[in-house]
Amino acid sequence: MHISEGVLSGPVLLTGGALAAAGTAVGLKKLDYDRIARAGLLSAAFFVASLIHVPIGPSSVHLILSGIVGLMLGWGAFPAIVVALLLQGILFQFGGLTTLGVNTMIMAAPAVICFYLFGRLVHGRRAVALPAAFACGFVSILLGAVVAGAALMFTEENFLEVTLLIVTAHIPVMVIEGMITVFCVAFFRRVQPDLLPGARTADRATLQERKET
Amino acid sequence: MKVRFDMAAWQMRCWPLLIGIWALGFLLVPNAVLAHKVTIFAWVEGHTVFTESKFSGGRVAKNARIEVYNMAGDKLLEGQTDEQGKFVFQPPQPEALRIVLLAGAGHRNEWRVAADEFGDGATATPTPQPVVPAAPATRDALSTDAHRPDVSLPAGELQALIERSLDKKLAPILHRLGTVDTGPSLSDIIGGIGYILGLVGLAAYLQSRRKSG
Repeated sequence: MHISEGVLSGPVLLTGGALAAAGTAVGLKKLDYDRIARAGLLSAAFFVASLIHVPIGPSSVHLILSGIVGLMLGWGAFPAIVVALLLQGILFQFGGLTTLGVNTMIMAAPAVICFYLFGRLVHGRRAVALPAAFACGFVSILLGAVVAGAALMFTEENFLEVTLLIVTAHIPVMVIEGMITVFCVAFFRRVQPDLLPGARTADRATLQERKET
Repeated sequence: MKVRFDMAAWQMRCWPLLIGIWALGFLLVPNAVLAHKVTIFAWVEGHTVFTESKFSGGRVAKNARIEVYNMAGDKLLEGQTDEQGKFVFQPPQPEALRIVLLAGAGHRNEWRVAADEFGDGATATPTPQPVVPAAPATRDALSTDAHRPDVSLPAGELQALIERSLDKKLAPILHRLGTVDTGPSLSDIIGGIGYILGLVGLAAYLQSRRKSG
């Protein structure tokens, strides 16, 4: 899902860069002391996941992990993903430096959206939580494909056509990411429910608010 | 105090999972190498340019668009790769070329061919046809040792002969160069993870200073 250097036009690159910078600023602001280590570990996992090639389907795709990164970090997904993408660009020649902003939007924006869509559900009953986790992994890639299609529509004629192409290429990845997210959520529910967004973190936030007032 | 405790417990419990994800990455890397970069490789034989395009990971880029430009930026010709990801063309003039591969969905790469990669006559005359009929005769003369001292080739013809046989001998090597995939090395991967962990350390340090200061 990384867009290469030299494909997009200047205005698209600038818009992507500006939005990504804003998202990263918000993310850094929200990244408190106990989330730094978590963000780093997820950033490293994201960085390495791009090397895991999924040899199914018509095109060449790899794991992305934006769903689980968003679920665990919320807005913190922006700094985690921007760092990982920068390193992927430098070390693996995936994407590129000029397209860093756009690629960040393709992968981090869906992560944050999925955090808001599914963050609360994963704490609920098992019958709700696990399908929600699957949907989180699945939808994050789907939204990423839509953002990528939107970025490409200014250079490649047709938005729907391009988006459909990217979506179909990523269907196996969506399913796999859904399963990975289910696995992670099930694991955290058992051993450390605190880590998942939802009930107890919300309690902690309200406690802090009360303390401050 | 409570936060600290959560941190420690979380780290204890999550390390196995994250290490598992990383290990999965490492296990899959040697087999699958990597995905998501598209490369084009071109070489010249005589006056024909051969190109080969593929995604990293080894999958060939079928039916991808190829555009050929000269150094002035004028588009000379365009075409599509075949089922093996190959595209062969004869440029109108032997000059430096920029071959751009557009594999769709934001995948793009290019390869430059220098003017001197074209054989002799590249700079002088773009039409090498007088050389061709002379070839069998000179080859015969070379193979019969008895006549060796009598052989006197015109300088231009001899050079053309050498160029042709070199092209023939080097073709498999050039072809192999194109198929060797230099994906990210283990040091790239470990280096990237190291960077991320370093950033985590830096962020934690800054935060702790802010807290105590």
